[in-house]
Amino acid sequence: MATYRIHPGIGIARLGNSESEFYLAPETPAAMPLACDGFGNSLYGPDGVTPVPVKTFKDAQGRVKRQAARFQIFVYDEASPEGRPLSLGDAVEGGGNHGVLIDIQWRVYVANKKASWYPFSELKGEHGYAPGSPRRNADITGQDRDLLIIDPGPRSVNATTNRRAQFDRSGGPGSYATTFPPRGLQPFDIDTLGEMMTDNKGRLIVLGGHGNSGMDVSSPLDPKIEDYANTDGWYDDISDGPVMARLIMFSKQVGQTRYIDVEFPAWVVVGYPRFAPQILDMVTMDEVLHDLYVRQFADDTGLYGTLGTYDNPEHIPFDDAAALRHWRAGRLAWNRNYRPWFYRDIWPILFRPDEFRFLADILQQSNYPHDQAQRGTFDPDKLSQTPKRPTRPAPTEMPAEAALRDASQGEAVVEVAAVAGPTRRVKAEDPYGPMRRFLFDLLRRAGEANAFQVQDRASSRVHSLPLMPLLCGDNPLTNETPSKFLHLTEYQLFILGQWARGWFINEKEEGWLADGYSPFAPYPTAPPKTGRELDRGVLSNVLGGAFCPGAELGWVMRNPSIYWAPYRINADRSVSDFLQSAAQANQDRGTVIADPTFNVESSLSQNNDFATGLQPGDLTKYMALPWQSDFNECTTQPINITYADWNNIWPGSDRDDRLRRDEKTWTTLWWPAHRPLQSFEIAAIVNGQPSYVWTTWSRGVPQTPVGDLKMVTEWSRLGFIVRNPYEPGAQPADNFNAKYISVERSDAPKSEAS
Amino acid sequence: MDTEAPTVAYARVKAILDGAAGASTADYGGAGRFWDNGAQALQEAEIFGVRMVAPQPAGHACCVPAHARSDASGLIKGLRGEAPFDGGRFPALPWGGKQVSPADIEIIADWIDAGCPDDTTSFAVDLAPGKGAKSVTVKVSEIAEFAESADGCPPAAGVGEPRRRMNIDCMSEPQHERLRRGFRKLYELNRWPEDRRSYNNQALIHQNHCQHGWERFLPWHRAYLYEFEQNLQDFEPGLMLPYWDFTMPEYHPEDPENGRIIPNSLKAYLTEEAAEQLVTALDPAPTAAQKKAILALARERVTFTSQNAFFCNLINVIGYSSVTPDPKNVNRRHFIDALLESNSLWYPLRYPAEYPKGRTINQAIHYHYPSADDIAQILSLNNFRDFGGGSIYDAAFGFLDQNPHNTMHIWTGGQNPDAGQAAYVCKNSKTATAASQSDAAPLDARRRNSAAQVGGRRFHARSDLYSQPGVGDMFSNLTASYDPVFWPIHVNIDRLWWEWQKLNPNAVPADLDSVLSPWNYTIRDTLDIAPFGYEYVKSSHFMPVGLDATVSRFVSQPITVPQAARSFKRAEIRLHQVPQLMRSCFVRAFLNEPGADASTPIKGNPHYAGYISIFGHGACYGGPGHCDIPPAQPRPFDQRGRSHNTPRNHRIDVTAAAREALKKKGPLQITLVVIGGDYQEERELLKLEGVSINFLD
Repeated sequence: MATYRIHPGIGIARLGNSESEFYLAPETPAAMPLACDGFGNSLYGPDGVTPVPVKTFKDAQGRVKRQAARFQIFVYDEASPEGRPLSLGDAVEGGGNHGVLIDIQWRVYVANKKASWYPFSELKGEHGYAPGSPRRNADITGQDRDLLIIDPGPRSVNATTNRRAQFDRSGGPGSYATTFPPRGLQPFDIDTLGEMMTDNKGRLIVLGGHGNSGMDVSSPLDPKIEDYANTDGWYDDISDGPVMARLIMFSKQVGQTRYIDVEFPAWVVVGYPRFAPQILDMVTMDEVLHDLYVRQFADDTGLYGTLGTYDNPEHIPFDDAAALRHWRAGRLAWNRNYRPWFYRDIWPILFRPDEFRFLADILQQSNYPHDQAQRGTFDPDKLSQTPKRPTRPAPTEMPAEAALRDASQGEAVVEVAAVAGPTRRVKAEDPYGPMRRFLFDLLRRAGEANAFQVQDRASSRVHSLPLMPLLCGDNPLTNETPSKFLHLTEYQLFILGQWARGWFINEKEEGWLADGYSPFAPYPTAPPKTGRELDRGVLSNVLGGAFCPGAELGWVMRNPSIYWAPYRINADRSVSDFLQSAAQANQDRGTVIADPTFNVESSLSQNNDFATGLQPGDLTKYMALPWQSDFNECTTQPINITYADWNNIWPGSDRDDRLRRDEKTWTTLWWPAHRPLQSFEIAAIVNGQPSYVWTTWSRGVPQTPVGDLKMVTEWSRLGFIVRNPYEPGAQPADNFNAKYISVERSDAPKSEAS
Repeated sequence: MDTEAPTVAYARVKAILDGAAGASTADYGGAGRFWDNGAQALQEAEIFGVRMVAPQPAGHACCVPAHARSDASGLIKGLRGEAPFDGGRFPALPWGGKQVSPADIEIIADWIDAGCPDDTTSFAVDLAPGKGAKSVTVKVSEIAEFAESADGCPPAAGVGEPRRRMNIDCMSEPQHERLRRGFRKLYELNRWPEDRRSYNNQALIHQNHCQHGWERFLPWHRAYLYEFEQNLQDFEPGLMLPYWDFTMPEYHPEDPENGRIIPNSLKAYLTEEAAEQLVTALDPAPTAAQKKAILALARERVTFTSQNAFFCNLINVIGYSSVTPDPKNVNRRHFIDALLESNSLWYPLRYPAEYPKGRTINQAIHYHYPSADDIAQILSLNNFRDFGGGSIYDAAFGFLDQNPHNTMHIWTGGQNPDAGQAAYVCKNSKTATAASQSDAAPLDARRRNSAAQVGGRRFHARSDLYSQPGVGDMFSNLTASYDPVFWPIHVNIDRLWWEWQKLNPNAVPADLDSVLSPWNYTIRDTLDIAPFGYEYVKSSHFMPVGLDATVSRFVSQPITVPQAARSFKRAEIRLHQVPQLMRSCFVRAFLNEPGADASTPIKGNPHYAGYISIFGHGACYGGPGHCDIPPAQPRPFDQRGRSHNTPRNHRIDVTAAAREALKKKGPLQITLVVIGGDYQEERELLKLEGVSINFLD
């Protein structure tokens, strides 16, 4: 029996102020977006199969092109349990009918609930809001609050007769009663949240808004921005919501058209532009979710599961809540026998921080601490060498890893080490073991979010060194639930720990690496084959922390309660699904494209109802309003590191001169790959040879509320930071030329809306 | 262990692995070319902690599957690309070099299963492994054998025990006869039009209130079935409605016109008594040969799917042609009277699978007969709207409501080929009575637009049963419930909902508080079937025992398991109403081993089906009556909780042994052996109301 699923489970569109031009979201990590025509059809290279990356990020008028989220349907059956893409003309079945796929009907319902939600206040709300917590725009009350939600209603398209629809004020062919902000916002009105269309293969293309943010002005001082995340009166055209699909088949058996819906909706999320698309964040959304699903949804029980079951991993169905609870209550631990692969699993993490030197001054000024050349501490040739253990061990020997900081593992370490059997030699030949352990010991563990440095190991090389990654955490701002610094995911820390103790595989030693592999181009480039690969590839280009509030999405993504399955948001089916059921379409001998709205009983909710599912707008409402304010300010943060548990201290209140003198702050980067600080630009090209200038990427926009307001109009002028075409391919680590440069900066001031 | 397998030598294994590895320099985690150093070294080799050759499996050789060792070996998994060598933990073996062919992998697997022989080793092969000792023969006749209840009655369901709705095709003739008796009693009440208990008044509830095409469909019909069943039980205690699993292979769902079409128990047939009366009433009287043939129909219980088939047989095969489709035709009336008297589950206004011009259901109405695959697809739906229908604001059909439910109505209702005909037109018959073929086209056009008539009808009156409408009563929801086939179809729909509910415990209709008129149930009340006191069992065989005396050993008479019930998901032996026992004991169940006793081996014995242990209560320390079994129903106003002396029901899962036993043709015989704490047989302990074996879908 076949099951049909939309992938990616969470698709990412991005804003752009170009009226009509767009490209497709990248589907592999750190990849350039894909070029397409005006219907979203991929453009291919001369071989006809390799998709071509986009050539320019802006249109002829210098406006930022939008990024489309592309969705397709995969079929899961006995022939392909991992799924394969479904095409028009394929045999399909469902609901007790079978036939040939002749059309696909898609339904998308996006909304923006930011203005009606709670103000973003660091971690407040992650586990629920206290009764009576104030909302954004609190002066608007009662039924009027419905008007704060930008709700264009659902739209449907198919692959044949109705291929385009707009999320605009019109309400579409179903004449939905839309709610949009009043006209006359400053500086920009919001008249649409985007549009949807089908490509020639029946895949869905979803576009978001144009980056228009505006304030409903009430005073001569307006528009103004007062805060990095919340200013009342503002709206932006970010959105998110469910994506549903209906297969339309012709059944030869009965000579009729038949309808069946896919298993569950997918979700589209609109983010702001990815200005440095080829540089991964230190922690990506894919990594956050993978870690969540492994630890909460038993997604890889051979890796993380009940102690002693790793060789015959348990299968816990994700939809069996009771079985999952039971599993989670058991003796769960990481499988200490698991060997990560160096080039597949370890190096892509270690590779990232050095890339940030092309996005911020700080790393050059610190003498390239992540240097990957031979003299550096991140030389892949050294870090990849496995310990050599040529002889068999004395059986009583305790594993060397016991010395590692692993109190969190407790008995699991001992138990699994016993299962793993003794190591093979009293002393392995492992010249680079200390290098690996040095890097691993510098990593901030989960639970050390407020620790700045290691201070209790005076005899150690890591004594007094700051813990890594040295990036801002979820709350470096207030004294309520502070979380000053970012840490890697538990999964990342686990595999790095395995690596540090020498328990890993070097694919080069085993002959598994493809010809021409270079560690300086470490991310996979093959297009995803399975639905899961597509889910993960798309999310690898989304920021995975810190969530303050984040870039595209925030900490709500860490909440297991919002998922129906891994990589699938639990949708409120009463708003996500076609209003006419598939069985009813069979009965009526036709499916309705205009989606009749007579059965809409209530407006989109002002509240959460995770038990029922999420509604349009329920993911992006946690983000800053307007997005430009947080985007602008999230460059660096002076974090007070005087006391681990306090972000704010007030020596003046006690006339405490000692405290005033001892007060320490550390200016810390937020997320440079999503919000660059500096970049190379080409200054001139002489005889075909470029010369570069290192400059402030967003020059002219200060880190102030006034700068935030300026960013509302300035963002589309910013350059995109891409691999320098004059330094192509995988460059050796000691090439210090401008590997990434900012291009397409528009100097002409953007014409503002009157 | 039956063959003298050619012994594969280590050299062959090494040659295969050498050839595959080629010039690869893969390090294998330090193990290098681990196969190069002799059979012993290969047997002990590990790569990253994975044993290349699994240890010799524990247990007696006879009990270990032939390829258990090679299947568990890392080398074989790796060469086959199975986990952990599927690319997640490690790539497939060998690393570098080229793939090993499946035939060569088998050779290596054989080598492992043969114990990894070195070149010089040879093995003695046991060609005739010893069989278990024969069990002691016991004279069965010394032990009472218990028979199935003669009338097919299930046990009166006691406290905590649901009644069983069974598969109509797996029921015994006495069980079918009880059902017919129950329906007849309701039909008889039709003489009092105001009596709400009459069949017509029960059917009228559907006519006036039925819910289709939205979420109330399933809850409403669950309540309706329950109410109708209770009404039946007022006349025939314990009678349960059966279900019709119309996707069973007997119905050829892919080609249903050539399948059974409807259950045999609902088809037209003559009992001998009715046939005797009939042949004396006909005018002109049938010839001796015709008379003999009609009586033979009855004697042989020949069944007919539809009226048309019956009369065509009469005319063309038996040769009695003094009958026409005219409702006023007196001979036809005699036949219909006789058929109704013979089978109260047959209904004249039912034309299963009959569509004009011999069209199939697919061609005629563009819906197809549901297959088991179709039902599997529908059961895989994950929300109530798609499965069972939408809410009041979204009055959408669910897939279950539409097809199979609607389709089965149309399938069983059919279109009457005899309507308006002057003479019977028979399919595939050279001797068909001359029909006015020129009438066919306009008749067809008339029929296409015909709906079941309600106004002016007197349901179940003879005049109505003789009539020749265009479509069967099942065709329309106003008239459907007047046809008894309505019930087994709807019971099956209810069963499918229950199956789906178990898969989707949280998927419910939108409006749980709505009242299901004309009763007082809300939708919420219908979500669980337990309060309605029934369960679904494909086939059930009950052997009454009685609580009067202890049972030293229970041996059933051979039970004939109907063909259709021989495939099942689960089989259970149930011990009904076991009172508190003085001592603890085990009860072991055996199938088709009537002589089983305490010494019968249970290990490796395919007849051993399972056991339960019963926790003993100990001797009574109170006065007279202290440990009496409480009455089945408490006294009025006795609101106290369940007495701890209430008899229990016990279940033994015997699925594996029952599958094994039913591989062979022939009946099934249950033996229960009561074994005490000393592992000797307990002859003076167990009491119980009865024993049943139940097959579940």
